Amino acid sequence: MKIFYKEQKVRNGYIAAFVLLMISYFLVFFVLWQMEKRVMLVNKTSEKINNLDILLSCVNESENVFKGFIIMQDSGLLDSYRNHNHCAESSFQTLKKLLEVDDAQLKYLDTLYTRVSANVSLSDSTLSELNGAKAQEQNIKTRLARQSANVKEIRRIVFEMQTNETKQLASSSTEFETTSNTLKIVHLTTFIIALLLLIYSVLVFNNVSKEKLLYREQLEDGFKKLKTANNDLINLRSIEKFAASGRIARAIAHEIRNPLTSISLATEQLESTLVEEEEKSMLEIINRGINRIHLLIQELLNSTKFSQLTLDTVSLNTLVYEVIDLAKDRIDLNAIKTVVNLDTQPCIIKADREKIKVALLNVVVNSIEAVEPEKGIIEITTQQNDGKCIVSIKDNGSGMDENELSRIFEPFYTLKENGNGLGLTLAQNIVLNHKGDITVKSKPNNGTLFTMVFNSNE
Amino acid sequence: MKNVKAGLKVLIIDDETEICYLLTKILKGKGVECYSVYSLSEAKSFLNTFSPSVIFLDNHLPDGLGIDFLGYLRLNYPEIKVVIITAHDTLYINGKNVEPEDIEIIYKPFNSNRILVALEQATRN
Repeated sequence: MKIFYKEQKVRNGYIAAFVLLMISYFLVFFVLWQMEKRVMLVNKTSEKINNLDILLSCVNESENVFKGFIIMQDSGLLDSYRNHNHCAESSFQTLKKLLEVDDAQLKYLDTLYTRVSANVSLSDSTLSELNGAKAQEQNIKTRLARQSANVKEIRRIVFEMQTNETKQLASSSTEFETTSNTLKIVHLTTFIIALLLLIYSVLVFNNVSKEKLLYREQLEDGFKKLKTANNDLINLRSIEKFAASGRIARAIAHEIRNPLTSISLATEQLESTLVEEEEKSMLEIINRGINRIHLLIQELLNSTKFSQLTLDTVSLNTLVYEVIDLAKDRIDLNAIKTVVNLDTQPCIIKADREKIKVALLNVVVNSIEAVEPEKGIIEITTQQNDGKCIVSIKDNGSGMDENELSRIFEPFYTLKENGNGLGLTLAQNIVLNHKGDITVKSKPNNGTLFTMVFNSNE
Repeated sequence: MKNVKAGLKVLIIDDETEICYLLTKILKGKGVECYSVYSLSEAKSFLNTFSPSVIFLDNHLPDGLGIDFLGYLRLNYPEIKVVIITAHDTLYINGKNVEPEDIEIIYKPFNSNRILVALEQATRN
Protein backbone atom coordinates (compact mmCIF):
# COMPACT_ATOMS: atom_id res chain seq x y z
CA MET A 1 0.00 0.00 0.00
CA LYS A 2 2.91 2.30 0.88
CA ILE A 3 4.29 2.08 -2.60
CA PHE A 4 0.97 3.15 -4.15
CA TYR A 5 0.73 6.06 -1.74
CA LYS A 6 4.19 7.21 -2.85
CA GLU A 7 3.29 6.81 -6.49
CA GLN A 8 0.31 9.07 -5.83
CA LYS A 9 2.72 11.62 -4.34
CA VAL A 10 4.93 11.46 -7.43
CA ARG A 11 1.89 11.95 -9.61
CA ASN A 12 0.80 14.96 -7.50
CA GLY A 13 4.32 16.42 -7.80
CA TYR A 14 4.23 16.15 -11.56
CA ILE A 15 0.75 17.67 -11.71
CA ALA A 16 1.87 20.61 -9.53
CA ALA A 17 4.95 21.16 -11.71
CA PHE A 18 2.74 21.08 -14.78
CA VAL A 19 0.33 23.64 -13.28
CA LEU A 20 3.23 25.95 -12.40
CA LEU A 21 4.60 25.58 -15.91
CA MET A 22 1.20 26.59 -17.27
CA ILE A 23 1.16 29.65 -14.97
CA SER A 24 4.63 30.55 -16.26
CA TYR A 25 3.48 30.28 -19.85
CA PHE A 26 0.44 32.42 -19.08
CA LEU A 27 2.67 35.07 -17.47
CA VAL A 28 4.98 35.09 -20.49
CA PHE A 29 2.01 35.65 -22.77
CA PHE A 30 0.75 38.35 -20.45
CA VAL A 31 4.14 40.15 -20.53
CA LEU A 32 4.31 39.91 -24.32
CA TRP A 33 0.82 41.36 -24.57
CA GLN A 34 1.76 44.19 -22.20
CA MET A 35 4.90 44.93 -24.20
CA GLU A 36 2.93 45.03 -27.42
CA LYS A 37 0.48 47.43 -25.81
CA ARG A 38 3.35 49.58 -24.66
CA VAL A 39 4.97 49.67 -28.10
CA MET A 40 1.64 50.75 -29.53
CA LEU A 41 1.31 53.43 -26.87
CA VAL A 42 4.82 54.78 -27.63
CA ASN A 43 4.08 54.82 -31.33
CA LYS A 44 0.79 56.60 -30.79
CA THR A 45 2.35 59.19 -28.46
CA SER A 46 5.14 59.98 -30.91
CA GLU A 47 2.56 60.24 -33.68
CA LYS A 48 0.57 62.71 -31.57
CA ILE A 49 3.67 64.76 -30.77
CA ASN A 50 4.70 64.73 -34.44
CA ASN A 51 1.28 65.87 -35.57
CA LEU A 52 1.29 68.63 -32.96
CA ASP A 53 4.70 69.75 -34.32
CA ILE A 54 3.34 69.66 -37.85
CA LEU A 55 0.30 71.67 -36.74
CA LEU A 56 2.48 74.24 -35.03
CA SER A 57 4.83 74.65 -37.98
CA CYS A 58 1.86 74.96 -40.36
CA VAL A 59 0.31 77.66 -38.19
CA ASN A 60 3.69 79.47 -37.93
CA GLU A 61 4.32 79.20 -41.65
CA SER A 62 0.76 80.30 -42.40
CA GLU A 63 1.25 83.41 -40.25
CA ASN A 64 4.67 84.24 -41.72
CA VAL A 65 3.50 83.71 -45.31
CA PHE A 66 0.41 85.80 -44.67
CA LYS A 67 2.55 88.62 -43.28
CA GLY A 68 4.78 88.37 -46.34
CA PHE A 69 1.73 88.55 -48.61
CA ILE A 70 0.56 91.74 -46.80
CA ILE A 71 3.96 93.35 -47.41
CA MET A 72 4.69 92.06 -50.92
CA GLN A 73 1.15 91.60 -52.25
CA ASP A 74 2.40 88.45 -54.13
CA SER A 75 -0.53 86.14 -54.99
CA GLY A 76 1.89 83.15 -54.91
CA LEU A 77 2.34 83.71 -51.23
CA LEU A 78 -1.43 83.68 -50.82
CA ASP A 79 -1.53 80.22 -52.38
CA SER A 80 1.20 79.09 -50.04
CA TYR A 81 -0.78 80.60 -47.12
CA ARG A 82 -3.85 78.59 -48.16
CA ASN A 83 -1.77 75.40 -48.45
CA HIS A 84 -0.44 75.88 -44.91
CA ASN A 85 -3.97 76.36 -43.66
CA HIS A 86 -4.98 73.06 -45.31
CA CYS A 87 -1.99 71.45 -43.71
CA ALA A 88 -3.08 72.71 -40.29
CA GLU A 89 -6.62 71.49 -40.93
CA SER A 90 -5.53 67.97 -41.87
CA SER A 91 -3.26 67.80 -38.76
CA PHE A 92 -6.29 68.71 -36.68
CA GLN A 93 -8.30 65.90 -38.15
CA THR A 94 -5.51 63.40 -37.50
CA LEU A 95 -5.06 64.63 -33.94
CA LYS A 96 -8.80 64.46 -33.31
CA LYS A 97 -8.75 60.80 -34.23
CA LEU A 98 -5.64 60.11 -32.17
CA LEU A 99 -7.00 61.85 -29.09
CA GLU A 100 -10.48 60.31 -29.35
CA VAL A 101 -10.34 58.68 -25.91
CA ASP A 102 -8.46 61.45 -24.07
CA ASP A 103 -11.04 64.04 -22.98
CA ALA A 104 -8.53 66.49 -21.38
CA GLN A 105 -6.37 66.60 -24.48
CA LEU A 106 -9.48 66.94 -26.67
CA LYS A 107 -10.46 70.07 -24.75
CA TYR A 108 -7.00 71.52 -25.46
CA LEU A 109 -7.42 70.54 -29.07
CA ASP A 110 -10.78 72.34 -29.20
CA THR A 111 -9.16 75.54 -27.78
CA LEU A 112 -6.38 75.10 -30.31
CA TYR A 113 -8.91 74.75 -33.09
CA THR A 114 -10.78 77.89 -31.91
CA ARG A 115 -7.52 79.87 -31.95
CA VAL A 116 -6.47 78.66 -35.37
CA SER A 117 -9.96 79.28 -36.76
CA ALA A 118 -9.87 82.77 -35.22
CA ASN A 119 -6.59 83.49 -37.02
CA VAL A 120 -8.03 82.21 -40.28
CA SER A 121 -11.12 84.37 -39.97
CA LEU A 122 -8.90 87.40 -39.02
CA SER A 123 -6.84 86.75 -42.16
CA ASP A 124 -10.00 86.40 -44.24
CA SER A 125 -11.22 89.78 -42.92
CA THR A 126 -7.87 91.40 -43.81
CA LEU A 127 -7.95 89.83 -47.26
CA SER A 128 -11.44 91.06 -48.00
CA GLU A 129 -10.44 94.55 -46.79
CA LEU A 130 -7.42 94.56 -49.07
CA ASN A 131 -9.62 93.56 -51.99
CA GLY A 132 -12.09 96.36 -51.18
CA ALA A 133 -11.74 100.07 -51.98
CA LYS A 134 -10.77 101.41 -48.61
CA ALA A 135 -8.13 99.49 -46.84
CA GLN A 136 -7.42 100.64 -43.33
CA GLU A 137 -3.82 100.10 -42.37
CA GLN A 138 -4.61 100.49 -38.71
CA ASN A 139 -7.18 97.69 -38.79
CA ILE A 140 -4.79 95.37 -40.56
CA LYS A 141 -2.10 95.98 -37.97
CA THR A 142 -4.49 95.36 -35.11
CA ARG A 143 -5.57 92.06 -36.72
CA LEU A 144 -1.95 91.04 -37.30
CA ALA A 145 -1.13 91.78 -33.69
CA ARG A 146 -4.10 89.68 -32.57
CA GLN A 147 -2.97 86.88 -34.93
CA SER A 148 0.53 86.96 -33.46
CA ALA A 149 -0.92 86.72 -29.94
CA ASN A 150 -3.04 83.77 -31.09
CA VAL A 151 -0.04 81.98 -32.56
CA LYS A 152 1.79 82.50 -29.32
CA GLU A 153 -1.12 80.97 -27.42
CA ILE A 154 -1.28 78.13 -29.94
CA ARG A 155 2.43 77.43 -29.41
CA ARG A 156 1.85 77.39 -25.64
CA ILE A 157 -1.09 74.98 -25.91
CA VAL A 158 0.78 72.69 -28.31
CA PHE A 159 3.72 72.64 -25.95
CA GLU A 160 1.42 71.84 -23.03
CA MET A 161 -0.27 69.06 -24.98
CA GLN A 162 3.13 67.58 -25.89
CA THR A 163 4.18 67.77 -22.23
CA ASN A 164 0.95 65.95 -21.27
CA GLU A 165 1.59 63.22 -23.78
CA THR A 166 5.18 62.77 -22.56
CA LYS A 167 3.94 62.63 -18.97
CA GLN A 168 1.33 59.99 -19.88
CA LEU A 169 4.01 57.94 -21.58
CA ALA A 170 6.30 58.26 -18.57
CA SER A 171 3.55 57.20 -16.13
CA SER A 172 2.68 54.20 -18.30
CA SER A 173 6.39 53.33 -18.35
CA THR A 174 6.51 53.34 -14.57
CA GLU A 175 3.36 51.23 -14.41
CA PHE A 176 4.85 48.75 -16.88
CA GLU A 177 8.07 48.56 -14.92
CA THR A 178 6.16 47.83 -11.69
CA THR A 179 4.14 45.11 -13.42
CA SER A 180 7.27 43.75 -15.01
CA ASN A 181 9.08 43.60 -11.65
CA THR A 182 6.15 41.87 -9.97
CA LEU A 183 6.03 39.40 -12.82
CA LYS A 184 9.76 38.75 -12.49
CA ILE A 185 9.29 37.86 -8.82
CA VAL A 186 6.31 35.63 -9.60
CA HIS A 187 8.30 34.00 -12.40
CA LEU A 188 11.28 33.30 -10.24
CA THR A 189 9.15 31.92 -7.41
CA THR A 190 7.26 29.65 -9.81
CA PHE A 191 10.49 28.46 -11.30
CA ILE A 192 11.99 27.65 -7.89
CA ILE A 193 8.85 25.82 -6.71
CA ALA A 194 8.70 23.86 -9.97
CA LEU A 195 12.37 22.98 -9.63
CA LEU A 196 11.89 21.85 -6.01
CA LEU A 197 8.86 19.78 -6.95
CA LEU A 198 10.79 18.22 -9.79
CA ILE A 199 13.70 17.32 -7.52
CA TYR A 200 11.29 15.96 -4.91
CA SER A 201 9.46 13.91 -7.52
CA VAL A 202 12.69 12.49 -8.88
CA LEU A 203 13.82 11.57 -5.37
CA VAL A 204 10.49 9.97 -4.49
CA PHE A 205 10.42 8.21 -7.84
CA ASN A 206 13.88 6.76 -7.24
CA ASN A 207 12.78 5.65 -3.82
CA VAL A 208 9.67 4.05 -5.28
CA SER A 209 11.77 2.31 -7.93
CA LYS A 210 13.95 0.84 -5.21
CA GLU A 211 10.90 -0.27 -3.26
CA LYS A 212 9.43 -1.71 -6.42
CA LEU A 213 12.60 -3.68 -6.92
CA LEU A 214 12.40 -4.89 -3.35
CA TYR A 215 8.73 -5.74 -3.82
CA ARG A 216 9.60 -7.62 -6.99
CA GLU A 217 12.30 -9.56 -5.17
CA GLN A 218 9.84 -10.41 -2.43
CA LEU A 219 7.35 -11.57 -5.04
CA GLU A 220 9.96 -13.71 -6.78
CA ASP A 221 11.00 -15.13 -3.44
CA GLY A 222 7.37 -15.92 -2.62
CA PHE A 223 6.96 -17.51 -6.00
CA LYS A 224 9.99 -19.71 -5.39
CA LYS A 225 8.67 -20.74 -2.00
CA LEU A 226 5.29 -21.49 -3.54
CA LYS A 227 6.94 -23.63 -6.19
CA THR A 228 8.88 -25.55 -3.54
CA ALA A 229 5.71 -25.97 -1.48
CA ASN A 230 3.89 -27.18 -4.57
CA ASN A 231 6.62 -29.72 -5.30
CA ASP A 232 6.52 -30.85 -1.67
CA LEU A 233 2.77 -31.21 -1.99
CA ILE A 234 3.11 -33.30 -5.15
CA ASN A 235 5.68 -35.47 -3.37
CA LEU A 236 3.43 -35.75 -0.35
CA ARG A 237 0.59 -36.76 -2.59
CA SER A 238 2.63 -39.52 -4.18
CA ILE A 239 3.79 -40.61 -0.72
CA GLU A 240 0.20 -40.57 0.48
CA LYS A 241 -0.88 -42.55 -2.59
CA PHE A 242 1.94 -44.96 -1.96
CA ALA A 243 1.00 -45.31 1.73
CA ALA A 244 -2.61 -45.95 0.74
CA SER A 245 -1.47 -48.65 -1.68
CA GLY A 246 0.53 -50.17 1.19
CA ARG A 247 -2.47 -50.18 3.52
CA ILE A 248 -4.67 -51.82 0.91
CA ALA A 249 -1.96 -54.38 0.11
CA ARG A 250 -1.57 -55.30 3.78
CA ALA A 251 -5.32 -55.69 4.26
CA ILE A 252 -5.58 -57.88 1.16
CA ALA A 253 -2.57 -59.93 2.21
CA HIS A 254 -4.12 -60.58 5.62
CA GLU A 255 -7.43 -61.62 4.13
CA ILE A 256 -5.80 -63.92 1.55
CA ARG A 257 -3.20 -65.52 3.78
CA ASN A 258 -5.80 -66.94 6.21
CA PRO A 259 -7.75 -68.98 3.65
CA LEU A 260 -4.45 -69.79 1.95
CA THR A 261 -3.28 -71.38 5.20
CA SER A 262 -6.46 -73.40 5.41
CA ILE A 263 -6.08 -74.57 1.82
CA SER A 264 -2.43 -75.44 2.40
CA LEU A 265 -3.11 -77.42 5.57
CA ALA A 266 -6.14 -79.15 4.07
CA THR A 267 -4.18 -80.13 0.96
CA GLU A 268 -1.50 -81.68 3.13
CA GLN A 269 -4.15 -83.67 4.94
CA LEU A 270 -5.52 -84.92 1.67
CA GLU A 271 -2.03 -85.83 0.46
CA SER A 272 -1.59 -88.26 3.31
CA THR A 273 -4.85 -90.05 2.55
CA LEU A 274 -4.80 -90.17 -1.27
CA VAL A 275 -3.03 -92.97 -3.05
CA GLU A 276 -3.91 -92.48 -6.75
CA GLU A 277 -1.16 -90.77 -8.81
CA GLU A 278 -3.69 -88.69 -10.73
CA GLU A 279 -5.20 -87.45 -7.48
CA LYS A 280 -1.75 -86.55 -6.20
CA SER A 281 -0.97 -84.59 -9.36
CA MET A 282 -4.18 -82.62 -8.76
CA LEU A 283 -2.88 -81.75 -5.30
CA GLU A 284 0.40 -80.70 -6.91
CA ILE A 285 -1.54 -78.20 -9.02
CA ILE A 286 -3.24 -76.89 -5.86
CA ASN A 287 0.12 -76.57 -4.12
CA ARG A 288 1.65 -74.69 -7.04
CA GLY A 289 -1.33 -72.34 -7.00
CA ILE A 290 -0.85 -71.81 -3.26
CA ASN A 291 2.82 -71.00 -3.78
CA ARG A 292 2.09 -68.64 -6.64
CA ILE A 293 -0.47 -66.73 -4.60
CA HIS A 294 1.88 -66.68 -1.65
CA LEU A 295 4.75 -65.22 -3.71
CA LEU A 296 2.49 -62.69 -5.37
CA ILE A 297 1.26 -61.46 -2.01
CA GLN A 298 4.84 -61.29 -0.78
CA GLU A 299 5.90 -59.21 -3.80
CA LEU A 300 2.92 -56.92 -3.43
CA LEU A 301 3.80 -56.28 0.19
CA ASN A 302 7.46 -55.75 -0.58
CA SER A 303 6.70 -53.27 -3.31
CA THR A 304 4.34 -51.21 -1.19
CA LYS A 305 5.80 -51.17 2.28
CA PHE A 306 8.25 -48.77 3.88
CA SER A 307 11.19 -51.00 4.51
CA GLN A 308 14.28 -50.73 6.69
CA LEU A 309 17.28 -49.34 4.82
CA THR A 310 20.94 -50.18 5.31
CA LEU A 311 22.35 -46.77 4.53
CA ASP A 312 25.76 -46.23 2.98
CA THR A 313 27.41 -43.34 1.12
CA VAL A 314 27.48 -44.24 -2.55
CA SER A 315 28.20 -42.47 -5.81
CA LEU A 316 25.21 -42.28 -8.10
CA ASN A 317 27.50 -42.69 -11.12
CA THR A 318 28.86 -45.99 -9.73
CA LEU A 319 25.33 -47.25 -9.13
CA VAL A 320 24.38 -46.39 -12.71
CA TYR A 321 27.40 -48.32 -14.06
CA GLU A 322 26.54 -51.35 -11.92
CA VAL A 323 22.92 -51.26 -13.03
CA ILE A 324 23.89 -51.01 -16.72
CA ASP A 325 26.12 -54.03 -16.14
CA LEU A 326 23.21 -55.93 -14.59
CA ALA A 327 20.99 -55.08 -17.55
CA LYS A 328 23.70 -55.72 -20.14
CA ASP A 329 22.38 -59.13 -21.23
CA ARG A 330 18.91 -57.78 -21.93
CA ILE A 331 20.28 -54.68 -23.67
CA ASP A 332 22.49 -56.81 -25.93
CA LEU A 333 19.74 -59.33 -26.59
CA ASN A 334 17.44 -56.59 -27.94
CA ALA A 335 20.31 -54.71 -29.65
CA ILE A 336 19.44 -51.52 -27.84
CA LYS A 337 21.73 -48.51 -28.03
CA THR A 338 22.59 -46.94 -24.70
CA VAL A 339 23.80 -43.35 -24.27
CA VAL A 340 25.32 -42.61 -20.88
CA ASN A 341 25.95 -38.98 -19.90
CA LEU A 342 27.36 -39.00 -16.39
CA ASP A 343 28.18 -35.88 -14.43
CA THR A 344 31.94 -35.29 -14.27
CA GLN A 345 31.62 -34.57 -10.55
CA PRO A 346 30.32 -37.77 -8.91
CA CYS A 347 27.25 -37.05 -6.83
CA ILE A 348 27.30 -38.83 -3.49
CA ILE A 349 24.08 -39.96 -1.86
CA LYS A 350 23.20 -41.77 1.33
CA ALA A 351 21.41 -44.89 0.21
CA ASP A 352 20.81 -48.59 0.58
CA ARG A 353 23.07 -49.63 -2.30
CA GLU A 354 21.24 -52.86 -3.19
CA LYS A 355 17.77 -51.36 -2.94
CA ILE A 356 18.63 -48.31 -5.07
CA LYS A 357 20.12 -50.66 -7.65
CA VAL A 358 16.84 -52.61 -7.72
CA ALA A 359 14.94 -49.35 -8.23
CA LEU A 360 17.25 -48.21 -11.05
CA LEU A 361 17.25 -51.63 -12.65
CA ASN A 362 13.46 -51.81 -12.60
CA VAL A 363 13.22 -48.47 -14.39
CA VAL A 364 15.92 -49.45 -16.90
CA VAL A 365 14.20 -52.81 -17.54
CA ASN A 366 10.91 -50.96 -18.01
CA SER A 367 12.61 -48.82 -20.66
CA ILE A 368 14.21 -51.84 -22.33
CA GLU A 369 10.78 -53.44 -22.59
CA ALA A 370 9.22 -50.22 -23.89
CA VAL A 371 11.52 -49.77 -26.90
CA GLU A 372 11.55 -51.61 -30.18
CA PRO A 373 14.39 -54.15 -30.51
CA GLU A 374 17.27 -52.89 -32.70
CA LYS A 375 15.79 -49.40 -32.89
CA GLY A 376 15.67 -48.59 -29.21
CA ILE A 377 17.83 -45.91 -27.63
CA ILE A 378 18.07 -45.52 -23.86
CA GLU A 379 19.72 -42.40 -22.51
CA ILE A 380 20.91 -42.35 -18.90
CA THR A 381 22.00 -39.01 -17.46
CA THR A 382 23.23 -37.96 -14.03
CA GLN A 383 23.61 -34.40 -12.82
CA GLN A 384 23.78 -32.27 -9.70
CA ASN A 385 21.59 -29.32 -9.02
CA ASP A 386 20.99 -27.32 -5.85
CA GLY A 387 22.08 -30.03 -3.42
CA LYS A 388 20.26 -32.75 -5.33
CA CYS A 389 21.55 -35.74 -7.27
CA ILE A 390 19.42 -36.39 -10.31
CA VAL A 391 19.35 -39.44 -12.53
CA SER A 392 17.16 -39.52 -15.61
CA ILE A 393 16.39 -42.46 -17.86
CA LYS A 394 14.94 -41.63 -21.25
CA ASP A 395 13.75 -44.00 -23.93
CA ASN A 396 12.46 -43.61 -27.47
CA GLY A 397 9.68 -46.15 -26.95
CA SER A 398 5.98 -45.86 -27.72
CA GLY A 399 5.27 -43.57 -24.76
CA MET A 400 2.05 -43.37 -22.77
CA ASP A 401 -1.09 -41.27 -22.65
CA GLU A 402 -2.14 -39.30 -19.55
CA ASN A 403 -4.35 -42.06 -18.17
CA GLU A 404 -1.58 -44.65 -18.41
CA LEU A 405 0.89 -42.18 -16.98
CA SER A 406 -1.24 -41.48 -13.91
CA ARG A 407 -1.43 -45.20 -13.08
CA ILE A 408 2.15 -46.18 -13.92
CA PHE A 409 3.21 -46.68 -10.27
CA GLU A 410 0.03 -48.48 -9.19
CA PRO A 411 0.54 -52.08 -8.04
CA PHE A 412 -0.38 -54.69 -10.68
CA TYR A 413 -0.82 -52.01 -13.34
CA THR A 414 1.01 -53.19 -16.44
CA LEU A 415 0.92 -52.63 -20.19
CA LYS A 416 3.10 -55.66 -20.90
CA GLU A 417 2.03 -59.23 -21.56
CA ASN A 418 4.47 -60.74 -19.09
CA GLY A 419 4.69 -57.97 -16.52
CA ASN A 420 3.36 -58.38 -13.00
CA GLY A 421 2.85 -54.61 -12.59
CA LEU A 422 5.01 -54.37 -9.50
CA GLY A 423 8.42 -53.31 -10.89
CA LEU A 424 7.80 -49.56 -10.99
CA THR A 425 5.76 -49.76 -7.79
CA LEU A 426 8.81 -51.18 -6.08
CA ALA A 427 11.09 -48.60 -7.72
CA GLN A 428 8.86 -45.82 -6.43
CA ASN A 429 8.74 -47.48 -3.01
CA ILE A 430 12.52 -47.58 -2.79
CA VAL A 431 12.98 -44.00 -3.98
CA LEU A 432 10.34 -42.69 -1.56
CA ASN A 433 11.94 -44.75 1.22
CA HIS A 434 15.13 -42.79 0.52
CA LYS A 435 13.16 -39.54 0.85
CA GLY A 436 13.75 -39.08 -2.85
CA ASP A 437 11.36 -38.31 -5.64
CA ILE A 438 10.51 -40.16 -8.83
CA THR A 439 8.59 -38.55 -11.67
CA VAL A 440 7.68 -39.63 -15.16
CA LYS A 441 6.98 -37.65 -18.29
CA SER A 442 5.65 -39.21 -21.45
CA LYS A 443 3.59 -38.65 -24.57
CA PRO A 444 2.24 -41.26 -26.97
CA ASN A 445 4.85 -42.04 -29.69
CA ASN A 446 7.26 -39.67 -28.01
CA GLY A 447 9.19 -41.84 -25.56
CA THR A 448 9.24 -41.72 -21.78
CA LEU A 449 11.47 -39.92 -19.31
CA PHE A 450 11.90 -41.09 -15.73
CA THR A 451 13.61 -38.72 -13.31
CA MET A 452 14.78 -39.73 -9.85
CA VAL A 453 15.95 -37.05 -7.45
CA PHE A 454 17.92 -37.78 -4.27
CA ASN A 455 19.33 -35.49 -1.61
CA SER A 456 23.07 -35.04 -2.01
CA ASN A 457 25.18 -36.18 0.93
CA GLU A 458 27.65 -33.30 0.51
CA MET B 1 7.62 -85.66 10.32
CA LYS B 2 8.81 -84.37 13.59
CA ASN B 3 8.25 -86.36 16.66
CA VAL B 4 6.17 -84.88 19.38
CA LYS B 5 6.42 -85.56 23.06
CA ALA B 6 3.66 -87.81 24.29
CA GLY B 7 0.88 -86.32 26.40
CA LEU B 8 1.53 -82.74 25.26
CA LYS B 9 -1.29 -80.25 25.77
CA VAL B 10 -1.81 -77.45 23.22
CA LEU B 11 -4.30 -74.60 22.97
CA ILE B 12 -4.94 -72.82 19.67
CA ILE B 13 -6.33 -69.27 19.80
CA ASP B 14 -7.40 -68.13 16.33
CA ASP B 15 -10.63 -66.64 14.95
CA GLU B 16 -10.15 -68.60 11.70
CA THR B 17 -12.26 -71.65 12.51
CA GLU B 18 -10.98 -73.66 9.57
CA ILE B 19 -7.37 -73.17 10.60
CA CYS B 20 -8.31 -74.19 14.14
CA TYR B 21 -10.06 -77.27 12.84
CA LEU B 22 -7.14 -78.33 10.61
CA LEU B 23 -4.47 -77.62 13.23
CA THR B 24 -6.37 -79.54 15.87
CA LYS B 25 -6.76 -82.44 13.50
CA ILE B 26 -3.02 -82.47 12.64
CA LEU B 27 -1.88 -82.22 16.26
CA LYS B 28 -4.37 -84.80 17.50
CA GLY B 29 -3.01 -87.10 14.81
CA LYS B 30 0.38 -86.65 16.51
CA GLY B 31 -1.05 -87.62 19.86
CA VAL B 32 -1.33 -84.12 21.22
CA GLU B 33 -4.24 -83.14 23.44
CA CYS B 34 -5.42 -80.11 21.52
CA TYR B 35 -8.23 -77.59 21.85
CA SER B 36 -9.02 -74.39 20.08
CA VAL B 37 -10.81 -71.16 21.01
CA TYR B 38 -11.71 -68.19 18.77
CA SER B 39 -11.13 -65.15 20.97
CA LEU B 40 -9.06 -63.86 23.90
CA SER B 41 -12.00 -63.81 26.30
CA GLU B 42 -12.78 -67.42 25.46
CA ALA B 43 -9.13 -68.26 26.02
CA LYS B 44 -9.14 -66.66 29.47
CA SER B 45 -12.05 -68.77 30.69
CA PHE B 46 -10.79 -71.89 28.95
CA LEU B 47 -7.42 -71.60 30.72
CA ASN B 48 -9.23 -71.92 34.06
CA THR B 49 -9.97 -75.54 33.26
CA PHE B 50 -7.21 -76.48 30.85
CA SER B 51 -3.46 -76.09 31.38
CA PRO B 52 -1.60 -76.36 28.06
CA SER B 53 2.19 -76.53 27.68
CA VAL B 54 2.05 -74.58 24.44
CA ILE B 55 -0.34 -71.96 23.04
CA PHE B 56 -0.53 -71.11 19.33
CA LEU B 57 -1.73 -67.52 19.49
CA ASP B 58 -3.00 -65.63 16.44
CA ASN B 59 -2.07 -61.95 16.64
CA HIS B 60 -5.23 -60.40 15.17
CA LEU B 61 -8.24 -61.47 17.17
CA PRO B 62 -11.71 -59.96 17.40
CA ASP B 63 -11.21 -58.70 20.97
CA GLY B 64 -7.58 -57.64 20.85
CA LEU B 65 -4.04 -58.29 19.77
CA GLY B 66 -2.32 -61.55 20.63
CA ILE B 67 0.85 -59.63 21.43
CA ASP B 68 -1.02 -57.70 24.12
CA PHE B 69 -2.40 -60.93 25.56
CA LEU B 70 1.18 -62.14 25.95
CA GLY B 71 1.65 -60.00 29.05
CA TYR B 72 -1.43 -61.52 30.69
CA LEU B 73 -0.19 -65.03 29.95
CA ARG B 74 3.30 -64.37 31.28
CA LEU B 75 1.87 -62.94 34.48
CA ASN B 76 -0.69 -65.65 35.14
CA TYR B 77 0.74 -68.66 33.37
CA PRO B 78 4.51 -68.17 33.19
CA GLU B 79 5.07 -71.86 32.50
CA ILE B 80 3.14 -71.85 29.20
CA LYS B 81 5.22 -71.51 26.04
CA VAL B 82 3.64 -69.23 23.43
CA VAL B 83 4.00 -69.33 19.64
CA ILE B 84 2.53 -66.37 17.81
CA ILE B 85 0.86 -66.80 14.42
CA THR B 86 0.25 -63.84 12.14
CA ALA B 87 -1.04 -63.18 8.63
CA HIS B 88 1.01 -59.97 8.51
CA ASP B 89 4.69 -59.55 7.60
CA THR B 90 5.75 -58.22 10.97
CA LEU B 91 4.27 -57.40 14.33
CA TYR B 92 4.67 -53.67 13.57
CA ILE B 93 2.22 -51.59 15.54
CA ASN B 94 2.08 -47.87 14.78
CA GLY B 95 5.35 -48.13 12.88
CA LYS B 96 7.16 -49.69 15.83
CA ASN B 97 8.66 -53.12 15.80
CA VAL B 98 7.30 -54.92 18.85
CA GLU B 99 8.56 -58.36 17.88
CA PRO B 100 9.55 -60.05 21.17
CA GLU B 101 12.93 -61.73 20.80
CA ASP B 102 12.18 -64.82 22.88
CA ILE B 103 8.96 -65.70 21.10
CA GLU B 104 8.63 -67.98 18.10
CA ILE B 105 6.59 -66.42 15.28
CA ILE B 106 4.90 -68.30 12.49
CA TYR B 107 3.88 -66.37 9.41
CA LYS B 108 0.83 -67.41 7.43
CA PRO B 109 0.61 -69.29 5.18
CA PHE B 110 2.42 -72.19 6.81
CA ASN B 111 2.41 -75.98 6.52
CA SER B 112 2.06 -78.62 9.21
CA ASN B 113 5.81 -79.16 9.36
CA ARG B 114 6.34 -75.53 10.41
CA ILE B 115 3.90 -76.05 13.31
CA LEU B 116 5.54 -79.25 14.41
CA VAL B 117 9.04 -77.67 14.31
CA ALA B 118 7.79 -74.81 16.45
CA LEU B 119 6.16 -77.22 18.85
CA GLU B 120 9.32 -79.26 19.15
CA GLN B 121 11.41 -76.16 19.85
CA ALA B 122 8.93 -74.87 22.42
CA THR B 123 8.93 -78.11 24.37
CA ARG B 124 12.64 -78.87 24.09
CA ASN B 125 13.67 -76.89 27.14
